[in-house]
Amino acid sequence: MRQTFTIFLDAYRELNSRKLFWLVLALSIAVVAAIAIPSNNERGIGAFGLTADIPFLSTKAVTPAGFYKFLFSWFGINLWLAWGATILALISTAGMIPEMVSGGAVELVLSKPISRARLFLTKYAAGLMFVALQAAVFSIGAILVIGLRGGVWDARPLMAIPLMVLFFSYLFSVCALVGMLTRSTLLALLATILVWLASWLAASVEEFMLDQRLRQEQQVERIDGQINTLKETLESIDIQLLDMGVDPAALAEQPSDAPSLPASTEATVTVENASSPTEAGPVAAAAPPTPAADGSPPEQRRGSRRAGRNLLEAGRALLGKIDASGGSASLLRNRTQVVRQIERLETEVEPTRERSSSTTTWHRRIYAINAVLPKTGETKRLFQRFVVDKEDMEGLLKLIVESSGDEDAASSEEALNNRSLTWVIGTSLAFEFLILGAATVIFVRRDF
Amino acid sequence: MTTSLQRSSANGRFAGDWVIDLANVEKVYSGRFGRGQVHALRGIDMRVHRGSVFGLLGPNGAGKSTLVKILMTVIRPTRCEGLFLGAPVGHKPTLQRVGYLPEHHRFPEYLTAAQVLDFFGALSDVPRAVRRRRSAELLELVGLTTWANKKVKGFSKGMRQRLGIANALMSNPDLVVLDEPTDGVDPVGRRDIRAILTRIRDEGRTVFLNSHLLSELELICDRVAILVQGVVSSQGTIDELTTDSRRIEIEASPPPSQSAEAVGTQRMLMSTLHRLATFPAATPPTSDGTTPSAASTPGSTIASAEPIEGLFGNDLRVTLRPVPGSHAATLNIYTDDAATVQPVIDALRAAQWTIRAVRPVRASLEDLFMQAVVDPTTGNALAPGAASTNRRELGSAARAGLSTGKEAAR
Repeated sequence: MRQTFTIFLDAYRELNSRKLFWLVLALSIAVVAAIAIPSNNERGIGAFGLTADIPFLSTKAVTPAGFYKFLFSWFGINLWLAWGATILALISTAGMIPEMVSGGAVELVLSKPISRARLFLTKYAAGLMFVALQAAVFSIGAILVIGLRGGVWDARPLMAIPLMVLFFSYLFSVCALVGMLTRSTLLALLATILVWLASWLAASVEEFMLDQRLRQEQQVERIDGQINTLKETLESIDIQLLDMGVDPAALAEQPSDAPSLPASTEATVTVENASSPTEAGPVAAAAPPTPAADGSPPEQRRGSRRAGRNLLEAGRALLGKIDASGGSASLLRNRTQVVRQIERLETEVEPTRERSSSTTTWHRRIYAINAVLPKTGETKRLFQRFVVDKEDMEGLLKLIVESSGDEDAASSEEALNNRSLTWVIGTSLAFEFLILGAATVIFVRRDF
Repeated sequence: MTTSLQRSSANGRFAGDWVIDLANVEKVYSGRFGRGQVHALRGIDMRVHRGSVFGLLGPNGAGKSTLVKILMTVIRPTRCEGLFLGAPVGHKPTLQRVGYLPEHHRFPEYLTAAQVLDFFGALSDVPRAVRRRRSAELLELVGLTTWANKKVKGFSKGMRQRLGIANALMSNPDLVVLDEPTDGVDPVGRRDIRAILTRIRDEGRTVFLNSHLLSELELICDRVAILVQGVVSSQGTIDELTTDSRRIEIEASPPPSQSAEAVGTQRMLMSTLHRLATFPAATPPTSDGTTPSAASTPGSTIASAEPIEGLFGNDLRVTLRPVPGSHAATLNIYTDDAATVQPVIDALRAAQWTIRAVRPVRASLEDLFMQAVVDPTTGNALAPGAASTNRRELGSAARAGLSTGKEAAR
């Protein structure tokens, strides 16, 4: 215990001597202070007596507490803690392990009655202490600002301490390993930043692929849904026709474009209305010209979904009319149309399905790569998950979704948010333990 | 200090009371990808008595620091038998009883002298109150009291070395291992350090010194081991190691009448010696009483600086070397018994030689060292850590002038 405490104390003295400790602390406080300055009002954001019209941050969209939580999570966590403070912390602590194993210094500590593994891991933990202190100052600042300015006392920003330490520890394990191997602070820093970039890149690509995968799956589902609807319609028509004594099976063999019976104008008009391009009827719905993998613009797809519903309604209306008129001719004609639509949709769903399955395969591969890398981004996201209330943000989130006009984006967001803690933290910790374990084993066995 | 008194009373050098008793210590540094192996230590057997000052000598690259680092668990041995303070080498808790000053040590620059002692003392698990008291005492011992609260950054090499010695004593150790403690220290500082080491020894602690400053070691070491190319070529007390070279030196000059005859000094000396005793010598005089070298240059006062060797009486080895630039000569009689020398003096006096000086002489540590590290066939220093020379060769080289390590230890 005495030895552990001493190593921590020494780490503090070392960091203190580098001045960076106090610089980072001062910057943290400055960030907290900067966040405390603005406030949200009915029109938007106000500061120093001026108001900027930002409706989605006005009190109509978010509560004052929610507003500060928003600022803390987006600027405080995403920008400051996850980037600025982390980079500064890496610069501050990257030298700790190389310094310890440098010639002339390492003999002094290795010759002490303390096991090498304990020495190494304590030193590692002492590096994390730096970040824990920084995060503690920041989150206490956040609690104060949200309490004093937002009027809600909420201790959950303290979650930033373990999350930030977790986030940093993934990177610091790489830093410790490389620093121990090369005895070079610079190489340790470079390697850490490389791993960080790699994990960020993997996570970004994975997120993009996930988004694509979900979009394409939804597209396939939608077309399948339309085909099913049309098939239901066809069945109803066939039942009607059977009731009238016409055999649909026999009809199906006839050339469909040869109207054998006079059409009912009324019914035809109704169907044509339903299938007119403006309403995006069966034709538009069935044929979204989407050879590209990224699908059609959202409006069109939303339109096509709506069109599916319209189609069903049109079918029902049609049947009603047919009942009323009692004419089987128009029924047959519409049946032909429905059959054509089904054929068209079925030819179209196949390439979409193939695209979707290839996207799924690629996403799985990238997911596998991502799985072994530390999930810095997703760990960061956990803060928003745990600290930001959905109720506080309801108005804001609705506005964001509406302004982006993309329901699917929200669904990939949702998928990411629904990933279990075991996945996010577990796989990252597995990475960290692997790296740290390797570093410890090498440190224990190495000749200095 | 009560502890010092207790230690002093326990200070006894009796057989079997070893602080270090090692056998077959080997270290092979494997190169990258298994190539370029370096056999740094090739079977070290070494014993250090409790309460002694032990010196480990050797040329650069002999493996001194490797051996010390193995003891201090900084390096893992390839093979190591025996005990270190009663525990196997590598037993961490034992290190609490060991103080260590590494070669080229570097203390954290951001700490003050007092903080350095406190930090490393705490790593040795010394309680806080004890640390405080001891660090004050030790800073006084090494003369750094006024620097206690100054950052190490501004310390000179000598001050760092003093602080290092204080640090090695922080945990009140039984054994103090010092790797080049006087490295970079000025003569005054060296004398101070020697005084400190003597004091440590007098407190009953064992001091293990690693140095290549032979004169330093000679002044304070009770026992030494000479390490050459990863092998102990010899070890024992300095007295033991120099037995073979112990002799009595007589400086004498022949009577003036003889010298005025312009006879070669050497020839004359030889004839004197010839008269002194029967002479089955290595370089026997010719029938006319002259040596071959003297004969080639008759009339010169100094024919050659080569010593002439012979036996006085039956078994007393005598060498004779003219003193350059004078008529005098130096006789070396290989014995440390003064009585044995008396007949030689009598004989010289009878021949009317003037005795200028009689003194006992023994080889210096430097002589021993040179004998150990110089290849007798080529006269060149042995390459450091050379893996080509095998142990047997080394052993025979060492035996040429010295007893081997094992013989000295047992």
